[in-house]
Amino acid sequence: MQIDEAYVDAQAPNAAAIKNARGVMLKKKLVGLFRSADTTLLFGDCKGSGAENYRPSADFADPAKPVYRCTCPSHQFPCKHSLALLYAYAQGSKFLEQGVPADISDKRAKLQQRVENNKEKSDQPHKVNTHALKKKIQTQLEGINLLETLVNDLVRSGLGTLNAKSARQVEEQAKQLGNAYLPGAQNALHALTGLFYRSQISSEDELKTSEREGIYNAALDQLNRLHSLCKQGRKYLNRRLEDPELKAETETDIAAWLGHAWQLRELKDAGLVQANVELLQLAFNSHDDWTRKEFVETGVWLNLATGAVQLTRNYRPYKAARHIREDDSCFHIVVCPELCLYPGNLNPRVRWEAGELRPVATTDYLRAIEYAKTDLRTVIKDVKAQLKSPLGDRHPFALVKYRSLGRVGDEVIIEDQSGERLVLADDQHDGEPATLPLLPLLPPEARQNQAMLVRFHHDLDSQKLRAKPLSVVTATDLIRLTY
Amino acid sequence: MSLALIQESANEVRRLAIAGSPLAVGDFRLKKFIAPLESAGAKVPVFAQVAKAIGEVVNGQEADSATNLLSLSTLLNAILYTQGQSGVNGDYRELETFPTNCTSTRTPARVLKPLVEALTSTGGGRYEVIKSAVERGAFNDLRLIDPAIRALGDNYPELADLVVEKILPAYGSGIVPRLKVSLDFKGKKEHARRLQLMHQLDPAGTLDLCKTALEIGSPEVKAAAIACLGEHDDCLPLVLEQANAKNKVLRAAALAALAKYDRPEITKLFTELIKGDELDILAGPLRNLRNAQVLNALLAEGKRVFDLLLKGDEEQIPRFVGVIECLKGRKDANSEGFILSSFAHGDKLGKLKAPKKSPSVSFTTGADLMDQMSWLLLEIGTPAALEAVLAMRDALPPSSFHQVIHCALRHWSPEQVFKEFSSWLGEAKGTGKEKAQILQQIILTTCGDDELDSDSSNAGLGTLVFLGRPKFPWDARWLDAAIKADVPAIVCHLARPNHKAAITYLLKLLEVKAKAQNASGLTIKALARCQYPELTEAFLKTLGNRIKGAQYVDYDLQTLLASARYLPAADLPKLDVFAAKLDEKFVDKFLEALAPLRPTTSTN
Repeated sequence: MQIDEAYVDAQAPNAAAIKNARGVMLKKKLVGLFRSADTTLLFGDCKGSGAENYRPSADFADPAKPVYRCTCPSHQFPCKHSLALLYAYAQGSKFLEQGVPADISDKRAKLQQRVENNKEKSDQPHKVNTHALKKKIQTQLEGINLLETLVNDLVRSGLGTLNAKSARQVEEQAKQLGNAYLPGAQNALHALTGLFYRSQISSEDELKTSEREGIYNAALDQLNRLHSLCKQGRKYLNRRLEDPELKAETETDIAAWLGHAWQLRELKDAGLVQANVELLQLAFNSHDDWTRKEFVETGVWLNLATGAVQLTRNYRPYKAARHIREDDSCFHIVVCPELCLYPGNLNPRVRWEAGELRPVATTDYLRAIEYAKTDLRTVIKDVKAQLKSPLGDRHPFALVKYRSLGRVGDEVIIEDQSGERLVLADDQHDGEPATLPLLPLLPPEARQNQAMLVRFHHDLDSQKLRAKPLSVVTATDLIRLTY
Repeated sequence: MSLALIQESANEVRRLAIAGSPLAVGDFRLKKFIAPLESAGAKVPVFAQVAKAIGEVVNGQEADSATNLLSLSTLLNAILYTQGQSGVNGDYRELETFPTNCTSTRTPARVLKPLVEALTSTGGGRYEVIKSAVERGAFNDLRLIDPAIRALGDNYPELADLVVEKILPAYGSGIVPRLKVSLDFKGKKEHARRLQLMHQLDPAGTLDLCKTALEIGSPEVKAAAIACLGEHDDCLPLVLEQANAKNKVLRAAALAALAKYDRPEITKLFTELIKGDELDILAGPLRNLRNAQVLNALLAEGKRVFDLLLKGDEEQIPRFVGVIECLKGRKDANSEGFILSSFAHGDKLGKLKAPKKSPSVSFTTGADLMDQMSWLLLEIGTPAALEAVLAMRDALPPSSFHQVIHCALRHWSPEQVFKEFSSWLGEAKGTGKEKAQILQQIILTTCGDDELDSDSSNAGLGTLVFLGRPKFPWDARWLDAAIKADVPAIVCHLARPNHKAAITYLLKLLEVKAKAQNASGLTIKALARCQYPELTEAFLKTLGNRIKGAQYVDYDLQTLLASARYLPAADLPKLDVFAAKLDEKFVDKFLEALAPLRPTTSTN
């Protein structure tokens, strides 16, 4: 198992844990460092606030699913003591060889037993309480009716009458959507109402007239999505009511739109799984989505087995943010024995239960460049096909190969081998910084014949389709422009 | 033509969605699109669909207006999404290249986010975040260039200065175009910093920009431009012009820039200005200027003013202060001679009162002038200068006592210093108290007890620590004098091995006054220096008393715990036994404090 400091950083649940773990190291609280003969277990003694030393350990019996244990009372895993143990290992401290402690052997055995039990359970056909599920779907249908009423009321009274106060009132009514098992629909409605007030409640909560003019197109587009969501959602729910199997639909992402939280088991049952996949993170963004009241961390990954650009999303609701692991940029290749894919189109969401990290090699960058789409015309066609679907993601990603990066007039463009051009432009999506100003600062080798990860956005006001550069892949490096 | 119809229809739909869907029923502006769209639909079916959808909106029921309007809008948007223009026509040209010294983008988001937040927001605590990131080299990332540039306008000037001095120059001249993008000649300090930084990174390339800034800039930007142009010989005429500018800030900037040059026209300028009214803006430049002609002019002016002062003309005091300011930092014989001769008339000078008719309000008296001159003499530091101050010690005001003692420390033996000044140590009233405080402060900061100084500075004993200060030998009798005068800080600093009176005093201090003065830790360290055999017992007894009823680790307790490193390592078992009985909330800190006593672990 190769452990470097970046690996340890990636294991930490949040930035504070990293800081605290480094503090443990600095204060030299680790007073004993040990490893098992096969180096699958690192353990140690760490001074803490108790009379007895804590016993942190990192168990790599299954390298894809490391288990961190500690006798300290922290609820975070790994705790600062286990992280400090890993830092000590990464920094080359000497670990004495010792037998696996009895308590850890017992826990390993129990874990093994639990894994086998779970496997047995998962092998058995999953029983669905059809009565309860039907009842839930009925409630969802009632929720859809409510959503439709809210949307139609808004259109009837006109967007011109919607202001900060009324937008918040609509959100109050929309709370019922959450009770009707439609959190996705509720979020979609919040994305509309959130356009009409500022994120912070203040005396300047109301938008100025000039600002309102700028949001009407986006608001109308969001209304269209809600309208389509009502239509397609109702159709989908009715179909599920009629289907005796009552399976969630995997052909489209309508289930996710309604707020269905996909279980990995469901995805596997539906065959949405790939074996032995390696992923290279091309970009990462974390932002505060105040309309959802969640922190959202998005990773954009290149599937090195298929060349698909896929997404990971980590949602951390404000109220539970401290208890959910915060994702971070990944500078390793993730090796997944099983990669589950969510239903979706151009850039499906992916998740994995277990994965190992390995350092990125030059060949990985070369593979990424090979996978990059060479024909901009085809890429744009695919993007437009997604955009025209009312429920399609409005900001699709693509890894494209470019012959040159240059200017035409004031516009910055990339050109493919056939001379097809794509204009690059910044957008304020997800609170990201502007990236165009960084392009002239790129090293000379990044100017031609490289691959660029871009995210498309269609400006409804100017009717222009633009792409924002997020990172550049060269033969030797991945240059990230966002964070 | 047909796509234009789609766009226009979409505009009408937008209008109706803002106004309210009931208005769409029978709307003639929308209705007029039906016929052309139907005819276009003969060739392209989607236009026929749009025409039909418009028909349903316009001819439908008011109750269905919202649904119909949204269906139409969805259809129109779907079409428009397929028509987005993604390319551009025109001549291709290479993207400009701005090479920087950094191309790394391997800083994780968890590190970048707080840094960007600190650079671009407001509030306390940001400076430390950024400073520690600079020390770690975390700014070696392309993505931090723009946030760092934004910080040039930070409300906290120290932060903006840190960015100018340490962060942005490291990226190299490649960032100059980024700095130029939002350079506002009419802007304030932010843009002055921007211009100076651009010039620092690319002096030749920004010369024209500096000239433009000098012509049209705000006073702050102009002053920065003058400083930049002052670096170029061929631009000196421009800077010379500014020496007569109406704005005082610009005049000062020009003089500061010109002072680096030894040229006849500049000498002439300064010689003339010395006779003028603005000695205050000359002070800085004159300190750097080494031209003998200018110095002679300054000394002649000083002599003239001093003669008037001796005649009792108190109104000349502010002007003489200006002359003294200009002489700061000079150690040449002429300057020294002038100050010595002026200082020798201290008896007359000291009687002068503050001027009454001075154009600017001034409370400077003749005694204050003596105080200022004694500083200059201390700074010059020749035997004659030191002797002059010491000779005048009784005539100088109490505030000059600092200079007097420092002169004595440099010029007299430790015995003579003790004999002359020890009687002041315990004074508690009037000017004696003021002198006692100055004396104590100097002992604390010059006795050479570095190990203790760093702690005593935080010990609430009214001490001040000057980094890089000189150290002087103090007579051994000062310790007894401090015990007699009951000055705990001095006793702690001067305590030496096996001094019984000091040990008795310190033990009593530990019991009675140390906590109130946050001096428990300092006292333990002093006892350690006295080689007190029962140090660990005294430490544990004090610690036991301090944590009784304590809810948290207060400042005194913190210093006490920190002093554990002075305990004998042989007493570790005793200390560990104590730890086992210690309250949960203090155990962690206590064990941390004992860490230096433990041998380094063999497993690491």
